Amino acid sequence: MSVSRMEKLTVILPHTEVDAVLRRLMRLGTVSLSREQADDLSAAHLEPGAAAKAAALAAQIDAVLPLLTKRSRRKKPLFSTPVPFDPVEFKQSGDEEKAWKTVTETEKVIEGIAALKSKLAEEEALMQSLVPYLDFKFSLDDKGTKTASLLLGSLPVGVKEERIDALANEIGFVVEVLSSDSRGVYVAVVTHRKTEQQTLHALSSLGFLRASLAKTEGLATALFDAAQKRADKIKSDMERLDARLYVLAENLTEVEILSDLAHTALLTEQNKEALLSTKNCAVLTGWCPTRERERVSRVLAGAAAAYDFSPPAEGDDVPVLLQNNPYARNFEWVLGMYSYPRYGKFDPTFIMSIFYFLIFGLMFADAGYGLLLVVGCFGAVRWLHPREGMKRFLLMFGYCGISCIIFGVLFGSYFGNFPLAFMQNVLGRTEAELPNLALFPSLEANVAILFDPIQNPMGFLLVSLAFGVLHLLAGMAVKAYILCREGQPLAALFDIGSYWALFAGIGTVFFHRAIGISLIALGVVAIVATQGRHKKGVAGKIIGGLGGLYSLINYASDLLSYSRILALGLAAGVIAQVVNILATMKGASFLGFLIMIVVFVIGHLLNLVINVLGTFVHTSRLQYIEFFGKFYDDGGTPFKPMTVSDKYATDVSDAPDSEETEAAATPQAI
Amino acid sequence: MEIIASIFSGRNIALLGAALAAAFAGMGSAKGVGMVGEAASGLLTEDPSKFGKALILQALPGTQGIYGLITAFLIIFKIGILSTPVELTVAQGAYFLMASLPIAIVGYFSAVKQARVAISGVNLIAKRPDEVGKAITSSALVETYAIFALLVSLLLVLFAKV
Repeated sequence: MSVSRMEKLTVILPHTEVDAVLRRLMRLGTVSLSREQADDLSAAHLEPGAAAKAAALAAQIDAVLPLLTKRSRRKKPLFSTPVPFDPVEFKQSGDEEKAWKTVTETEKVIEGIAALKSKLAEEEALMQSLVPYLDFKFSLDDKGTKTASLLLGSLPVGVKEERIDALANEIGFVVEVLSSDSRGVYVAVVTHRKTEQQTLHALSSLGFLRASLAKTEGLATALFDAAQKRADKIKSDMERLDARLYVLAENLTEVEILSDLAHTALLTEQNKEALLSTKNCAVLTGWCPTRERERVSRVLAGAAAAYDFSPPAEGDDVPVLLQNNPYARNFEWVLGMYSYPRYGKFDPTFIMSIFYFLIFGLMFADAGYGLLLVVGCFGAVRWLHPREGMKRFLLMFGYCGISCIIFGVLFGSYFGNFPLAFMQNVLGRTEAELPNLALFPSLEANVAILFDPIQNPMGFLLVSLAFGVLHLLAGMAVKAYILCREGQPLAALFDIGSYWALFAGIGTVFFHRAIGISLIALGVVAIVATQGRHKKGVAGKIIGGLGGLYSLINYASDLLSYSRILALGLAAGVIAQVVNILATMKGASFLGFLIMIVVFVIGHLLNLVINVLGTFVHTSRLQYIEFFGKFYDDGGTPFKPMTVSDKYATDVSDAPDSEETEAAATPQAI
Repeated sequence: MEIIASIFSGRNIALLGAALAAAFAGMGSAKGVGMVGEAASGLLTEDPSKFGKALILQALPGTQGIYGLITAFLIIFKIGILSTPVELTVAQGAYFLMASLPIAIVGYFSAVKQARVAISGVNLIAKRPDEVGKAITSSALVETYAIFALLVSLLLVLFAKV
């Protein structure tokens, strides 16, 4: 429920130790680096070209990974969990070498496939160009006899036969049509050598093009068959190479571990660039949570390094790490989507998580949908082992599902009005036969304990606004608490107390006129008297005071904003009703049941998805705008510790501080 | 004259209201979701891994269409088209027509305006993917007014005397 205290860490270490210390700190995952600038220090600890080399290696592995992943027969879980591995063992068992071999061989195979592809394209082009001349009974390079010349080529589609015949008779040549397709009519022309030029001239006036073939030695059919054979050979070679990829993909896990190792090396190089150095020593500056000081010390004590922890100085941009109980920390990412609190300020995660739970449930009050959320989210966490960020995301929606169930039972919504629709349309009974759970029989309740929001929307509006009042008052209470903590109790009394007196007066005026009116008067006077206290001059103070009164409008508009709870609640309920009507329309036949199940599942799943998104967005908005607006001092930089790459695998060798490490989890946005 | 009178019967005027709510709010959402989708595709050509974030932004202007649909359905329920049709006077029918106007008009315009904010949100996550929460929030601020319009339409329909 608070922002973790941080310590500034300064380490001075010889160049030779930089790599080892950085790697151990990265594995610990509790130190963030700050990028310092100093003109009199250099980057002498950096090896020229090392970062580029590390980047190239990582890129090399990343280039082949997708291909292997696609061909791997390994089961693909919904959420990937890192495989445990030990880097020393990975190297010694030869797995690392095997992984590198897989990478280089995969590269070769990919190159081979690309080369074969271009060869295949060549052969296919040749085959295509030969097709029109398959019926030609002479060798394609046959130039004719001593006196007769033989020409191969094509005429455009649609040339009139009479025109060809006329020219043939006039000059004296013979045209034999071999074949035709959409691009042209393919012909063999025999003419006397003396009139060859004349013939060509005449034919080209008709659009004749001489055949240009890549290969002409022999019969077209023979050439075609040869090309076909070569193409088949290439295809089978390609298949062989592709099958080889499937074999190589069996080493996918090793290649993935290798990828993580390469990325960790790359991260180390990048972190090194944040360090500054003299001729022999490098300086590392960063931040670590105070509670992690012991473990960081243990790591550094093992290295030849001088280090020092110091509390943050004035003006330092201290990174912010939130610390919350196991329930509230699942809501930290919602806070992260807005902005983190500034260092040393109030962390609203816990109080927000309570209202988030309540408002989410009220806005999406349905026991059926709530149950689906609970089962889906908690089940996914239990059986699919998602990573920390995803786990928190799921747990938050799981908790919100519990709230949906509670409010769903209170307002009698089970997949909308499904019990009623089923009762009436399938069983043919009446509404009166449903169990009556009403707490207040005067309200229209059905299966609801309180009342049915669709029958009694005004009642639900009042409930929504009541939650809004609670939420806003809580926001003001937090502001008062912050002011008191900062030693300004008078400011709390003036800024919050005066408004509360006014609100209390508005509340009591309906029960006891005199007390109510005097409270309102007290509030108004207090507001006008105190809200201009920072302004100069009498006129300024009066205008400031009246301005304070005017800000009541803001409170009113904030409150009305909570009517969205009713609107979104009704939206979910009405769509569910529509689904139920469609689902139970066919009554109590076998076909009716079949239709009911299909429509029920598809319709309600759709409604669930739409409304979870809508409810999430608008519950968040009520926190961000209406609630945080009252008190939140935001703008902190989230704490991002240096870590190793664990996209696929986690290093499970001895922890860098020789104790069970629990990596400081960093919140992760969706 | 009789034909005109039968076309403009009370029930048909109420149905016109349902049609307007579904049609205009739906048109606004279709236009809005389409606009954001175009912008999102531009982003995805550069970085397909941002699909999830872009999808949320694209879905945001889609809710107005749902609000229109809900209003239309409530009117249909209320005048009993799906069960036993209720006889309405012309004035009663006109009441439903009026009740549908807030969500029909505000639904259309707010969906388009919300889409514009969502498009700038797409541009925002192109450069700073971590700020998707802010992009969603500022786009959701526009939706507030569609929700208020829905509330007015819903309450008018739910409290109709037929």
